Amino acid sequence: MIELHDVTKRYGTKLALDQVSLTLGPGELVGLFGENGAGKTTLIKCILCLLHCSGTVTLDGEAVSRKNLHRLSFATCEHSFFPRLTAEDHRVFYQMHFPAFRDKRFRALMEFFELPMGKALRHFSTGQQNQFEVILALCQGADYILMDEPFAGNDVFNREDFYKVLLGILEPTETVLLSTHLLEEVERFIGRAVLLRQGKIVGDASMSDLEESGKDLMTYVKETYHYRPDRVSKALSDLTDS
Amino acid sequence: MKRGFERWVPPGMNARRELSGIGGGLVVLWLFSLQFFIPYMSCRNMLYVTVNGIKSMKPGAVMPDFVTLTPGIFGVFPLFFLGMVVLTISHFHYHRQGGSRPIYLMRRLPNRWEYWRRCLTLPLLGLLAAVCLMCVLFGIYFAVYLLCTPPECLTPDQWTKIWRVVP
Repeated sequence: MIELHDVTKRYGTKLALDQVSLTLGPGELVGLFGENGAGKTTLIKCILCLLHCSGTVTLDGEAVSRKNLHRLSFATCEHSFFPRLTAEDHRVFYQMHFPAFRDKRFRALMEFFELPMGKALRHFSTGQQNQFEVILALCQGADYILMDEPFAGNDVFNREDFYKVLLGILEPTETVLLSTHLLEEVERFIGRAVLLRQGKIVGDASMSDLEESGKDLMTYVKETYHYRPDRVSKALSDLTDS
Repeated sequence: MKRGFERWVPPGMNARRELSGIGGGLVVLWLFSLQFFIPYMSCRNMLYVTVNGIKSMKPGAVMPDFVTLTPGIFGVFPLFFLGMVVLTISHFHYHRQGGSRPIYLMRRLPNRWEYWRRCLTLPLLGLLAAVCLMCVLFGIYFAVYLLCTPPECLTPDQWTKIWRVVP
C-alpha cells in the first residue's frame, strides 16, 4: 500500500502540493484528476522520489527509496525511454535492471500494438512512443504503476484499446494511478477518482459510490469544483452586449 | 543492446566513437609534447662549436635546466581536461533532451550507481589516461635530457629544480 501523509511541495513561493494525504491500496485502479497546474504531475513525481518534498511517502510501511522503488513504475507524457535505443534494446535494459520484468507481457503488448522491435524509438510516431512508454511501465514488474497523462496525442480508438488491454492484463495485486483529463473515457475503467485542486485533494470517491448516488464522474467533478455552467454564456453575453 | 564498451556510456550513445575521440586526443597530446625536442636540440647544438669542420665542445658550456625546456609541451593538456568536462556534461544532459527524459528511468533503477557509472566512466578514464601520459612523457623527456646531454654540461640538482617549479 502506498501512503502519503502531509506531502507538501513548493516551487519557490508557489505551493504545488499542500499537505496531501492519500492511500493507494493493492489492486486499485485510481484516476487522478484536476485542472492544469493542480499538482497531479508533482504528486506522482513526489511518490517516485523524483522531487524532494516534505511529509512522508511510504510503500507497505517503508519510506520509498531505491530499496523499494523498483516496485513502482512510471509512464509519463514527457517520456522516459532512450530515443536512440530500439524497443529490443529497452527490453534487454529493463531485464538487466528489473528482475521482475514481464517479458511475456512485453512481447504480447508489442505485438498487439504492432510496434517494431528493431526500430529506434525516435523514429516512432508520437502515438507509438506513448504506447511504448505505457508498455514499459506495465512490463517493469512493478506493483504500482503510475501514469501521468500517458495518452496525450493518441487517437480515441487507440486509447480505447489501451484501457481494455489494461483491464485485461492487470493482475489483482497491480495498482494503477492514472492522471488524465479524459474523465469520460476512463470512468468506465477506474474504480476510484481522486480530485486535486490547487495542490489539495478536494475529492476522493469510489466509482461504485458515485454510481449508487446516481452521479457520473463529470457531474461529481463539476460539483466538487463548483463549476458554474452559466459562466461561459454570461461571459459571451457580456462580450456581445458591448 | 550492444555489450562491452556500450555498458560504460549512457544507453544509446556511441562508446566506440567516444573512445576513438579520447584516443585521438591522447595522440594529439603526445604529438604536441614532441616540441620538447626543438629547444632541447637547439640548446644541445649550442654546446658545440664547429671549427674547420671539426665539431668540439665549447669550453665551460652549460646546458639550460630541464625545467626551462619544458614549458608549453603540456600546454594542450588543459584543453583535453576541458574536453573531458564537456563530455561529462554531455552525458548528463543526454538524459534530459531529445524529446524524452530517461533521467526518470535512471533515477528509478535499483542500482543507484548505474547512472553515475555510465556518465562518468569514460571521462574519468580519459582524465586518468592523460595524467598517466603526462607523467610518462615527462619521465621520458627527463631521461632523454639526462642521458643525451654530455654529463659535464649538466648542472647539478636537476630533480630538485623540477620540484621547485611544481606548484
